Amino acid sequence: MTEDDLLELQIPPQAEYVGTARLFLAAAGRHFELSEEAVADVKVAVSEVCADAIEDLRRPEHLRIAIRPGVDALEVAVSSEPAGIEADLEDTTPPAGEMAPFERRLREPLVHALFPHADYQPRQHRLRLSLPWELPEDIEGP
Amino acid sequence: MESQGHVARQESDANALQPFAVASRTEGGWTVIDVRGDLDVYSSPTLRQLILDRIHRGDGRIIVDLEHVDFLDSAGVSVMVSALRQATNRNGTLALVQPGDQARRMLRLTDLEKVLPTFTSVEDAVSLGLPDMGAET
Repeated sequence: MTEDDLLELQIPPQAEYVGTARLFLAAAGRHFELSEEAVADVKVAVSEVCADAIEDLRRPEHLRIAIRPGVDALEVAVSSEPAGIEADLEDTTPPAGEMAPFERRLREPLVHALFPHADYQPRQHRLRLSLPWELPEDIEGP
Repeated sequence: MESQGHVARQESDANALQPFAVASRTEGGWTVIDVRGDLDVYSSPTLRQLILDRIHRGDGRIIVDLEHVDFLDSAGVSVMVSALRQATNRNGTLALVQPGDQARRMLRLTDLEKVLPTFTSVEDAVSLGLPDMGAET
């Protein structure tokens, strides 16, 4: 693997840029010859993490989406950097009993329904998932 | 757009693609909401507001046409759930038309397909009709 294998996009945590992130994922999907279904699922998972960050009272400075090919799988990661030192200190946990909006409660089960082994940290706006390489139909696995 | 090695920074609205559009019309006593583009955290508030405006003005029978929706996430699903709830609370109902493969997958994963009637066309939804569902909490 070389540095050239890494594809990375950095966006502001604003709703109007989530579509750009999906365009990036679509292009990456073509580059790595992923199936349309796999790309569609990754788009959902990444969009959910972006939405977490956008709705956070302490929005991060930016969101970074990285795609790196591994030996067995394509690794997709979303991460964020806090806006400043205060962001590390502030606890954004909602008060006990406060109901999160419905879509926020949907996000985690939805991401895990799509990617059961994904490492999804909604409050840290972080996601890591692996997409095992798909063998061409005319090649049998070991 | 500024490039730093392989890092592309997105800082200009000019490069943000949001081909979202929404419009409403009346057909056979139903309010039909035509949606285009991606239904996500950016666009769903617009759709939510439009549907709720229609319901609050007394249009209880709502069809959301998803034929031209390319992408649906939890924000879009949430719009459908809250719109269905609001409609049924006012003795109305809400139906979906022509969700694509990705939208259907989201509806299935969230179990929403069990509660939201789905039709293959607006004409089917209008002609087959649906009974008003009665007020619920």
